[in-house]
Amino acid sequence: MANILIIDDSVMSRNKLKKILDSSDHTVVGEAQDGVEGLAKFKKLSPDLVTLDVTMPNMDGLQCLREILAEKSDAKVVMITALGKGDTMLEALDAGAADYITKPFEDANVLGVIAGALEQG
Amino acid sequence: MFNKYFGNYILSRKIFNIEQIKSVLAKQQAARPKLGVLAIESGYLTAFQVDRVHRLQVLHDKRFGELAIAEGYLDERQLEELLNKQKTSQVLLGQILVDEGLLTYDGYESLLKDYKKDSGFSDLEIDILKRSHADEVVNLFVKEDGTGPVVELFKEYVELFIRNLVRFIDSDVILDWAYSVANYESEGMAVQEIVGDHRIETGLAGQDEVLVRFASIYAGETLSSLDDLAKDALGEFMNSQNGLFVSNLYHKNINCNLNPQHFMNRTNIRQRGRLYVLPCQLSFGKITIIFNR
Ligand SMILES: [Mg+2]
Repeated sequence: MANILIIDDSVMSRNKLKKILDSSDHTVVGEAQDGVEGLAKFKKLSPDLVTLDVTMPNMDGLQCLREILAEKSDAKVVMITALGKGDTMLEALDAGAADYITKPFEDANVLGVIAGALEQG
Repeated sequence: MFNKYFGNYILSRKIFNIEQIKSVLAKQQAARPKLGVLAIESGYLTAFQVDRVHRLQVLHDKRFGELAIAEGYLDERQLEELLNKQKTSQVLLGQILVDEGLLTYDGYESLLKDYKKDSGFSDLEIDILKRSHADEVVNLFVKEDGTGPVVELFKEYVELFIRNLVRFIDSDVILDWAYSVANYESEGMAVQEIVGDHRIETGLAGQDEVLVRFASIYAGETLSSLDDLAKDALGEFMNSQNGLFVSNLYHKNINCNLNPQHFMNRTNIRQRGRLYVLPCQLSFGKITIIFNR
């Protein structure tokens, strides 16, 4: 049961993610379509967890991740990406992301990763 | 196809837990020679300068190359040369998994088997490739401009595109003959730029009603016009396709990234090196794949 903020430039991906989360006991408290808007909503909404797309205009996911963690060092952020690229993943994990999910989504995987991230200390 | 997508499979299927994946990725990265070492070897930086850059890295959250350029130790061309050198050493992912004790050789073998079952081309996909004479299409290119590597790249792109079409859109795919042109004009097109070691403009074009149908299937919603949601779905399909393509390249030590995708109304694309156009017949109409490198 977590309050979740979705940051993704694709409305289709936000909708799909929201549908999966709505079917669970999590609550989507906000949505943002780029890193700039996402950071602002993070500050305003203080969600328990953020799902953060990597490829976005204005401010990309890696930059947004750093800004979020600068704001709140123990923020729980799950990266969302179509890039199964090792160095992008590692950069995000090293910077402090809790985990990642690859697009296109699989329901069980999404909920499993989010549960795992929420359990992390 | 063997082993081409294995790295991606490991990352996307969550076969290992996050800590294990992190250590494997870190090992894979550490297995590459450090830029500082390469810079000294090439005579571009002294040990003192490398040391200074490392100390600056502690203070600023910046990459080695970025700081070396800022300090005037390297120019862009030299950095690129060093980065290319760095890439030539790759340790196989499987090797690291075994070295790390995450897999026995038996475990590795059976994981590869699962992967082949999961990710290999299905009979249907192989059928489509045969029916489409993809190899002949590609051979034609080789004859035409003699640039083997770009053709191979395009072929790989097309194979992946077919797989994604079959998985997400339509199992009834027939590729037409591909051709190259100086200009390509289109009413509407989802575009995404691949950047990095390769710079490629990719596109998905078609007539409105076909694109709307395509977008509806991918979004899982009935869309009635080429509105923002439809354009977004097309862009996101390209993003998925290109993300997988780029990660395949990464596991072959070719480093690319993606710019955000967008939709262009009435566009005219001009060729860079080669502008490939590949029409594809789906059950509900024709789409066109654009690959401009
Ligand atoms: Mg995106």
